[in-house]
Amino acid sequence: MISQIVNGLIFASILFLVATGLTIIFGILRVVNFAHGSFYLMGVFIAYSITRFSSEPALHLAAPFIAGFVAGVVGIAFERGLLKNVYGRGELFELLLTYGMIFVFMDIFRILWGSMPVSDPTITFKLGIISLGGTMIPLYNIYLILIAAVLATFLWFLLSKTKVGMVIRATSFDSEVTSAFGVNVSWVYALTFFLGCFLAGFAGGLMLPVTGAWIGLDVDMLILALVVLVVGGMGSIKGALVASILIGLIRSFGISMFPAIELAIVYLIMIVVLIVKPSGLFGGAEVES
Amino acid sequence: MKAETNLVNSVNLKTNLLYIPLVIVLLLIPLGGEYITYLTGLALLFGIAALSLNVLLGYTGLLSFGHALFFGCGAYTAGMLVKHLSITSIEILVPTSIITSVILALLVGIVCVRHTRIYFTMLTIAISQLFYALAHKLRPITGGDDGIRIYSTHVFGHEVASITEFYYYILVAFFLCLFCLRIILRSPFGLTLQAIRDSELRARFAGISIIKYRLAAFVVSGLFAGIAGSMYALFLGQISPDDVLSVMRSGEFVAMTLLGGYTSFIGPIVGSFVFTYLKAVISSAALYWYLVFGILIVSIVIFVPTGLMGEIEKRRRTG
Repeated sequence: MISQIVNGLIFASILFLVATGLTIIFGILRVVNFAHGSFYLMGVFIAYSITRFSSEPALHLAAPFIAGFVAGVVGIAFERGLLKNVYGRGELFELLLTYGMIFVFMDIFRILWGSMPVSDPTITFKLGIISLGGTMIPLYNIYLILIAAVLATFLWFLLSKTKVGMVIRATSFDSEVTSAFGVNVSWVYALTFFLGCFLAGFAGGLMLPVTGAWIGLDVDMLILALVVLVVGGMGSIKGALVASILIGLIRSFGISMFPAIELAIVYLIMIVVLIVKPSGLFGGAEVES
Repeated sequence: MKAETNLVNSVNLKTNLLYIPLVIVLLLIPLGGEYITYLTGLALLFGIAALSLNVLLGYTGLLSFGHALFFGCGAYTAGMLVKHLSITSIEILVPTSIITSVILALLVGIVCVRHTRIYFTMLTIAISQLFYALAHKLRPITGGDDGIRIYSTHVFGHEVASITEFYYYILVAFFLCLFCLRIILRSPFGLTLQAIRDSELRARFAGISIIKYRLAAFVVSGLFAGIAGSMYALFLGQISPDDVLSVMRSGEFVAMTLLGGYTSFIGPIVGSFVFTYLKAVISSAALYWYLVFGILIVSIVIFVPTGLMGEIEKRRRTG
């Protein structure tokens, strides 16, 4: 029971980080970034390469941050270099452009990291396990959930209490008026993409010791992040949090209790939400904290 | 998305005559050997599916990213009839697939057409994923991830002996579908769809029931995708959820339509041919097909958003 809750929360934490990136990007740029799962996968692979250097725990703990940073920089390059070209042509083309990038990334990963699954549980062994009500839980798993919670708090603080957050929210609300107030909206877009892709890459880096990565995980992760995005409400971070925990726990308990229809239930929830309340559980159109 | 071109009148009599050599080439394809015949058969079937997707995308402006659902519905209807009832006659399998696809499209459509833009797209993804997950897990019925094998098919009691023979059945089905879709989309119904796409508000003022028209388009779209899927299952003799029901397959239909041009009636077919042959050539040369495919989509979106046929028709009009 406890191990299922912990597993569910790990999954929820990861989903939250990935889906929040997706939701921020949607909130500001009005683009559903289909390549978001690819940034997640990129994070795992980069963390894998970093941890090849040594088995030093500090390096292994730092790896997700570096992976997130690299993913963020690639995200900016993608937004400035490619996506920018199709702004104003309608969401269809923005969607299709990010869809095309899934395949570009897929083969680049294959070229750089091969087709075999990668994983590295060194840090899980180094940190050891603790007993939680009689259930043995790897300490790393607890760390993972905590760091996601810290990041969630930081995001809330960034968006609702700082000047940067105010500019981001203003751009989401009305980019034209914001730009009239002297804000460089292009920079806000780039920053948003960095932030969104950082979160995906960071989440990927965190999962290296837990599940690792394989080609195909990008699309799986994208679909689940889309479920969270829709259920929570597109553009709502609070919604992403609630929906991630919901989906995370359903998957964790579903896998052990009703494995045959566990995924089907997740999609069913998404369908019901879309039919009953297309704007999601916390449906605001703008980025809210 | 607004495509201010009229999809119906962009092809005149002169261009119709240009298609005669193409038809002759299609008839002579089996001379090129079994592999070419097989590839062309696939391209024709994907062409029907992409064409059906474009009934939604090009004519109503709705992007479905779950169109493999209807392709898969047709394929699995045929597959399950073979598996459980040992029916192998194409003349029974394909019409049954049409019926199931229409019913499914009607049910899914009622839910989907009330939404537009990204919500419509998301809903089509979610529903197709639901069926994909079910097809994976309901092993006794669907064969799970192993899918279903179809060893032989019959036409009016006669066993289909070769790929070449089946190719001609596909060709007949292809022209029938093309002809029917052409008539449907040239009718007042097709024009109304375009009117709704270009301005929902204006169409509403004209007294058009938008939901009803969109639903009808959705069903037409599902029907033809179902035919393509059914024939695909029988042609290949092997189906699996990943092959016929996955979001990747849905995405391929979108890519074909985009590649050929969603503003042109014939565009999706051009797209499906280019896609199928290119994939075969690049995969066989052991190159990175996905990389090429991805770059192709990105370049089309940025440089020629109306696709190959859209560009050709534009040049023809201006020059």
